[in-house]
Parts: sequence; structure tokens; C-alpha cells
Amino acid sequence: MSPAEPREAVIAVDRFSKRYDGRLAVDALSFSVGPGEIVGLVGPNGAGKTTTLRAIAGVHPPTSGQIRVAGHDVVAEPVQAKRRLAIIPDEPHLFNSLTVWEHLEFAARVYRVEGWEAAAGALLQELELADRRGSLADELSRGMRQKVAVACALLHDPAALLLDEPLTGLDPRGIRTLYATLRRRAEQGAAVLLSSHLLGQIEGLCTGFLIVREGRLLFRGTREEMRERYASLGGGASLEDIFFHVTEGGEPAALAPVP
Amino acid sequence: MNPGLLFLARRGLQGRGRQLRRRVRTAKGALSLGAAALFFLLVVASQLFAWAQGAGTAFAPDDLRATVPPLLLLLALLGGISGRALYFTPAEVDFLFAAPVERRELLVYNLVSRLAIQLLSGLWAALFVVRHLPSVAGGVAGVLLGFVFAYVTAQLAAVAGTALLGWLPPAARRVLPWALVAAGVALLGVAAGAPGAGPGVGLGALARSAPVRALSLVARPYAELMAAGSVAAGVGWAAVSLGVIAAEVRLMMLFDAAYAERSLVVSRRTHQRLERLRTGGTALSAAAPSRLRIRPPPLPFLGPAAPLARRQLAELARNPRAVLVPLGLAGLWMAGIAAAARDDAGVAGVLVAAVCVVLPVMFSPHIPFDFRRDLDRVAFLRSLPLSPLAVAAGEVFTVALVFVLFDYATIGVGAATGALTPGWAAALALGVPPLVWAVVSLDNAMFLLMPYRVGAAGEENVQFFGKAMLGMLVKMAVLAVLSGVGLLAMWGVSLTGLPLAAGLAGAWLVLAAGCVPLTWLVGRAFAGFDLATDTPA
Repeated sequence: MSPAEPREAVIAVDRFSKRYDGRLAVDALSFSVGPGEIVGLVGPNGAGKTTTLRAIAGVHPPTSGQIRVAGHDVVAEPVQAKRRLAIIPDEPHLFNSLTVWEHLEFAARVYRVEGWEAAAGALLQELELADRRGSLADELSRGMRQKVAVACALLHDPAALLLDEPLTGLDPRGIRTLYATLRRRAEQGAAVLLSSHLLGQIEGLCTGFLIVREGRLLFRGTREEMRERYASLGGGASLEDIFFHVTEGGEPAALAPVP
Repeated sequence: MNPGLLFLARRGLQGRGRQLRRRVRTAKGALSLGAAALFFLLVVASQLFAWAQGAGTAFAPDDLRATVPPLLLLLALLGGISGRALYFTPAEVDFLFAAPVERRELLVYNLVSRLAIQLLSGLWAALFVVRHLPSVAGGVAGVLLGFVFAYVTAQLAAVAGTALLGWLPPAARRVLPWALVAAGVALLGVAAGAPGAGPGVGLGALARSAPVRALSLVARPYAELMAAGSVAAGVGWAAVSLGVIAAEVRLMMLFDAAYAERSLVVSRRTHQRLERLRTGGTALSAAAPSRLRIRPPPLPFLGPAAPLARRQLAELARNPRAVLVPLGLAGLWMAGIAAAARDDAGVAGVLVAAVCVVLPVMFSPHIPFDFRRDLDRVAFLRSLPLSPLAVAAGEVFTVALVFVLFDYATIGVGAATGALTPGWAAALALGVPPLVWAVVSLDNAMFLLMPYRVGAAGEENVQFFGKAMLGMLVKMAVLAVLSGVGLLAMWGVSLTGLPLAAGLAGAWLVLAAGCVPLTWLVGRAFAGFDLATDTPA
């Protein structure tokens, strides 16, 4: 995570705020994610994680602030920005009348991917879906639908990969497969931002963390920086303990937000 | 348009055909599709028969010109205000809103992908009205294009409304809904004040008034097409009609309003409504539970099914709004019965009997405190140590009880006003429970055999309407058979010289016996319910 190097950032969020019907969902959030980084956006329910991810994906326009993906402003140049990103929502909604393979064909056409068949076949192998390519979406389990959504998202080789609570519904094997896939993408230069309300589930995967509560950023940094900052909790404190300490108001709000 | 959107629109249509083919391979799927086809053929045949008989009056061209344009505009306006034309399914929201496509392209995709359902809806409506129109070709084309026009106009209104709201200051945005309501009330006031007697005539005069004719001029070509008597006139008006639609689409592209957020809100709300409809209920029955915490007493009957029935009773007690519509209508009908009884007790008596049948037949879907509300709990119900028959009885009980009480109140009013003699009141009261049980059982069996599926916008309307009509038909047919057999039993007993009471008891026994196979059918449908297909996890 490199807040001081916005030119290198694939995802650059600058004082992003979002208001719904007068309610402030996200308050002046700033951070960036560089190539090869896997950043966990963690916080309790209602912290503004999904809103932030959807705003980066260009689904929700910001009330104020600026969001750039691969150098493109998501408001001013939405198509260019969206061409470089992919978002995987928490609930995998697929088109019930399409097969798994047709979902990939659709994604290839939307993102204008040339020669997509080989990449699609490899993705199905990687995500253990090769034997389900002819299945209709409504014949798949939830975990499989999640994997189809992941395959569609990865097909156009996005520079920025956004995942909203990606582990929901996946079995341990599915989680391991997804972890390996995300690591591989990050090694190839993708910036990965994934949300979770359980720090413990993603701490082994992420290279950096953003802790948010009620739309405000409370912590930004690596695992080591987190331990260093919350050393007062004792050496035996796990990241989960730190997370609860931060998000449950263990630290005065006036001190907690990141400058 | 983005090639992916074109692919999705085309393949989506083909995919639905493929889903149907896959469904028809299973016995249940074949049965439900066969029943739907049979129902469709029956409706078509009835309309063709009425046409051949020359039944019904022909609509006068001037009436068409006066009423069709404001009606189409009203439909479009309602669609625009509700934002329904900006609805995208959850899959479309997930895949398309974050995809590199222009918002104009998304609107065109929405129109194209909903075109088939608009045309199907138009075809269905044309089936009922075309025999009243001067020519078949003009009538069908007019109705079809009218449906497409209404949808495109609704979308244009929604997009324009979104743009307008974006420009307005917050204070004006808050006032706007009230201003619209005031305008609506003012219009109704004009209608009521128009010369002539009664609201119908008033509305007719309003439709013919110069301002309404001027406002609805844009929809006039569709009325002209329906009223066209010759092919030449029809072709001309069809071209104009298509031109209007094309111009509206062009205008919408020029607007290029940022509708995404409004669309997300509408899509979420619409999807929630569709999910509610999936359980067969209405907005009132699916509203958030009240704060009432009434605990119904344990039921001393129904054996092992009693806890299930008690749970549904508790749910009903905590959602009392579900009974408001049937209760209101029952109240109105009871007042009507009381009024009729003053003039002719015989007619009022027939009315009481009719209400006792119509209430459960028509309104059972409004109070779905049975399997319909437990659609997502079928797996749990299966895990209970109860036979399918016991589960069926426990689930059917609550709704049946509500309608028996409604019917008893109606019979009570009938007896109190003299519409029914005490004997007839007692006989009717005896017959009501098995008849109501049969109706609710049939509703549940049909629901479990043919659960609703939520698809693209508009698709569910056809589905719900079709299934509601089919359900009504089946219920009426089964009730007719049961009542006929009951009357036969009564007649048979009377031939033996036994008193009327014995005949009534015989009829009741026959009716009650008829409920056993119906409840068994519900149990079988429950046991055979395909969890993987109908309520996928």
C-alpha cells in the first residue's frame, strides 16, 4: 500500500465521501493500492466497505472526492476505468439462462477479449469448474456460482481486482483455490482490494490492511505496522484482537483516524 | 451497442427456451407446462368461440381515439414514476454496471431485452380486444406497438425525471411529489366536475377534453392504428407509430442522464417485491412484522401437526395487515348483503352463498400463511419427524381457519338480516369448512407443483397473472365437482326417506372425504418439492 506514491497506484482513492439520503456512508476516505498488493478492507457491518468497492467500480458515483483506476477517473472516464477493473460481489448473481461457458463468452465480448477461449479454459481448470462448463447457472451450488463470477472477472486480466466478502459460501478447498488465484494475479501485477468483516480470515493473504468504521478510516498499513501501532495491547494480541480493539471503539475516535 | 450486451440479449432469449426444454424433461415440469399450455389454449379457444359467435360490441373508432391515447400515457407515466422501466435484474446489476459500457448502451439493452416480454404481453391483451376492433391486423399491430410505446415512454419519463431531479435544488425535490399528487387530485376534480352523471362519464369527458387530447397526441397513432379499417391506413399509422418510438429512443439517448443510482434503488426495491411475490403473498402480507407479540394457545387437535399450525397462527397474528384487503372487501360485501336483504331475501341468500365461495377462492393468495410463506423453510419442514400429510395439514390450517371465520361472519350477517333462514345458515356453516379447506389445499398444491420463478422485468407479471387465472379455474372446477357430488349425496339420502338433516350430514361427509385426497396431494407435492431447483441455496 503506497499512499505517498499516487502515480504508481492502480487504485487511488482521494477524500472519497458518499452520502445516501443525507446519511454519510463514507467520510473522506483516502488510500491507494499499488500493483502486486493485496489489501484487505476490513470493518464491521455498515462500515462502508461495499459502498467503497462499488464506488471504485464506478457503480456508485462519489458525493465528493476522486477515485482513479489505472490512471482513469471513474466519473470522468468511466468506460476506460471499468475496462481495467473487475468486481466480484458478495452474492454471486448469475444469469440463470446461461451456461458457465456462456458466462465467460459474455464477459469476453463485453470486455472485447480476443482469443478468449484458451484463457477461459485455463480459468475453468484453475477454479475446478472444467466439468461444469455446460451447466446452467441455476444448476450450480453457491460456491460454484462464486467461482464462475471469479472466472468472469479474471478473464480480461484486470489491473484492479475488487472482491466484496469473497469467502462467503466457499468451502475450505474453494478458499484455498481462491487465495492461490489472487496471489498469482498479484504476482502478475494486479492490485487486489478485498473486503471482509473478519480480519482473521484474510490476514494470511493480505499484504496491507485498511480498517474502517462508520465510513471512516481508522488504520492503514501492513501487518507489522499494525502490531507496532497497537503494541500497547501486548505481544500476545492477535490481529483479530487488534481489529476488535479498533472497531469496537477501544481507541478514542479522535486519535484513531489516519491523518 | 457493446457486443457483450447484444450477446446477452440474444442468448438470454435462447436460454429461456433451453430452460423450458430442460424443465419439460421432468414429470413435474412437463405437468406444469402442460397445464399452462392447456389453460392458454382454453383462453384462446374461448376468445375464438366468442368471436365466431359475434359476441361483444365493436369499439367505435371515436371512442378508441378518445380513450386509448390517455390510457397509454397513464400507463407510461405510472411506469416512469415508479421507475420500473429502469429495473435491472441482480445479475445485470452485478455484471453490467461495473462493465465498460456506456449508460446509453445499457438503456438500449434494457429496451431490447424487454422487447419480447412487451410483445408477448401485447399479444395476450390483443387476444381479448381484437374482436372488438375493425381489423385484425390493425388491431394486433396497434396493441403490440402500444405496449412497446408505453414501455419506451416509461423509460423516457424515468430518465427525464432522473435528470430533472438532478437539476432541481433539494427543497424543490422534496416538494415535487406533493406537487404531482396535487396535480393528480386537480385532474380528478376536473373529471368529477365534468358534465354528466357518475365518475365514468366524468372520466370519459376528461379524456375527450382538449387539454388531455393535446397532451396525449403523441399516443394517438396507436389508437388510429387500432381503429384503422383498411390496410393502407393501417400501414401508414404503423409507420407513424414506429417513428414515435424511434424518436423517443433518440430523445432518451440525447438526455444521457446519470440514472445508475436511481436504477440501483429501483432494481433493489423491485427485486424485493418480486421475491415477496415468489411466496405468493402481497405487499401487505410480506410487510415487516408488527410489534404485536400475540401467542396463540396450543391447539388441542391436529395431533403432531398442531405446532406447525400454531406457528403459522402466530405469524399471522404478528402480520395482521395481511388480512386487511380481504377483511375490507368482506365488510363491503356484508353491507351489500344487508342492503339486498331489505329488498329481496332470496337474492341476498344467494349472495351470501356466493360470497362464501368467492372469498376464499379469490383471496386465499393474499393470506399466504402456509407453504407459500415457508418456501425457504421447506428443507427444515422436511427434517421434522412428521409425515407429509401431517405437515400439509399443519400448513393449510391457518389460512383455512381465517376464511372459515370470514365466511361464518358473512353467514351471521345473512342470518341476522333475514337473508338466510336458520336452517340454511346452519347448512351453509356446515359446508363451509370442507370447501374452504379444499380451496386452500389446492392453492398450496399448485404452489408447490409450480413455484414462481423470478426473471426479467415484466416476465413475472405474465407468469403471476397466468398462474392466478389457472389457479382460479382449477379451484372453481374442483369446487363445482365437490359441490355436485355433495348435492348428489344429499339427494341420494333423501330418496331413502330419511329427514333433510341426514341428507345434509351425508353431503358433509362426502365433502369432508374429498378434502382427504386434496390434503394428501399437498403432502405429495411437499415431499416431491425439488429443493435444488425451486429454492436453490
